[in-house]
Amino acid sequence: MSEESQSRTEDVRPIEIVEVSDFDEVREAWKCPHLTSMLSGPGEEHFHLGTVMRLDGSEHAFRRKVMGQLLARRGHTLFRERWLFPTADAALNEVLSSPDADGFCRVDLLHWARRVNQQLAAAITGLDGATSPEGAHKLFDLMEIVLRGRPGAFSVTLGQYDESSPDAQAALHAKREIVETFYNPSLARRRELVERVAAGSLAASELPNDLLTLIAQGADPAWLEPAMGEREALFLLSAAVHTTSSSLVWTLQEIFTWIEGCPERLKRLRDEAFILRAAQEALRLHPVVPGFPRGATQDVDLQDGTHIPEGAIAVIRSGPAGTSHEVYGDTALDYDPDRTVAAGINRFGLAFGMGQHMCFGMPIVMGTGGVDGSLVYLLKKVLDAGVSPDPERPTFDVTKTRGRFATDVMGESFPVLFPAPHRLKADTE
Amino acid sequence: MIQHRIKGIAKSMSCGEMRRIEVGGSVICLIRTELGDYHAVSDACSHEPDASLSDGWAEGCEVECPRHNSIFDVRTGAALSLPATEPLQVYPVAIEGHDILIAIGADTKSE
Repeated sequence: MSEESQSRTEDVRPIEIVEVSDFDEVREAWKCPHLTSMLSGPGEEHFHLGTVMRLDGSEHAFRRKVMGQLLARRGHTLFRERWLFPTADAALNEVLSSPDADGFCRVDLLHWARRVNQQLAAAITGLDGATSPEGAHKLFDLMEIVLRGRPGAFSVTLGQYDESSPDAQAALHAKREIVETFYNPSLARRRELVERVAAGSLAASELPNDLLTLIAQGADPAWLEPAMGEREALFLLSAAVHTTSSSLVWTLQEIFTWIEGCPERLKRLRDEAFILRAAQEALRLHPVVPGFPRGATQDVDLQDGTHIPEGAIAVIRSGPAGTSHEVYGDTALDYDPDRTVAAGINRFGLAFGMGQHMCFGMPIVMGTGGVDGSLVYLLKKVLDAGVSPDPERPTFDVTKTRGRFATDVMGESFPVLFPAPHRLKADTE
Repeated sequence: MIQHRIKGIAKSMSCGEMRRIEVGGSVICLIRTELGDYHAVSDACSHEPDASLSDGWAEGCEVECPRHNSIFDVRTGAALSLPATEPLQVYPVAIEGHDILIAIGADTKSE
């Protein structure tokens, strides 16, 4: 055993883990000022240290407001219209233009959605080079490597992150390549634009609305440290790519099951208000992250009796909480897009979190009222194109996956079929 | 109904500006819209009470929370955008010269 790995083993700290999964306690824990997101440890300096997801209190409120400018004044609408919609339309047209001999077009919809959402994330971040098809593909491949090898909050906090592992090394190399190929040139361009605004040769309204412009402006002084800006950009690049894509395929999985043997239900999928309810129900039932870790800065006693001692990590589980029988009734584990909920209770459960760290991308995903969000748009696109499950795909019992993080059951692909456009037209006529 | 008089404030607020003021035990977001109208709503976001709306963005007759981008109509208090679903408290406003009167209770008080 090397000195380094000996030292790593000795550094592993015994930390108590406390599960929080009761509906009321989850909501309370998310808002508790003594349960912090500022988790850290060796390895955090490469990816998340000091980013908005690792700040609390006034520092977090300030950063969140600075970044909130990107989506404010319905800026999220512009991102969808300018980037997501054309990207999704082009990506779907590409799929539909290549039918197999049997007249069906096949695609892994999880991979397809990740690519589409990655391009949107690149636009919000402000990576110019990632807007061309070639650049977008390269960035996507690099980001997948980063996502595989970057440490989670648990591993860094528990001292378990092994920087020398092949995945970790690959992630660090991919991060460096992203910074050199995409981040640095884009930031340099924005610094030049910001200087032109300062010199009066460019109107401030001509500046791009993206994170890198905010960094170039020093909108948060913390970003003046170059590594800090890189980490923030990398965080935003990864935010919501896998999660939103997972929500899309979970919704489709539930819809496929819901219409099995009930073809009359298909016509309801033409109604976008119904599609929204279908998506909200899937969001409630299928958490797309395993849990939200928070460190206790002092002893915390939650209202229903859960004790979290100082120094422990509370793991907030939105999945079980979102299927609470007390809140959603005896049918809480059923998939029911027509479900009614009590006032003050969201149809989508706790999918977007709560409190100061509530999902930053929610305005993108849900829009102002839900039907104008990215999730409903993508669902409408694929449903209108006649999406159906690939019969060769291994099946599983979706009812057994509800109320818990079940990405392992879903797997890393979601093969679907689309009828070739001429065939869909003939069918609908 | 008590009308609380905020002396001279109408003279000092520009169009599109918001101010957080405490009157009659209530924390209020006072807004002067781009058209010059004044409106008063509760300063705490109905979705995230810790968030101060006067620290957010005003556009037209809307105010947007800096925390999670909830949007409200300042004329009615209605929540116009998720994640907020509950309305804001709206306080009637009257202008007298450079003073603004915000109705919370039955006498006029000077702040």
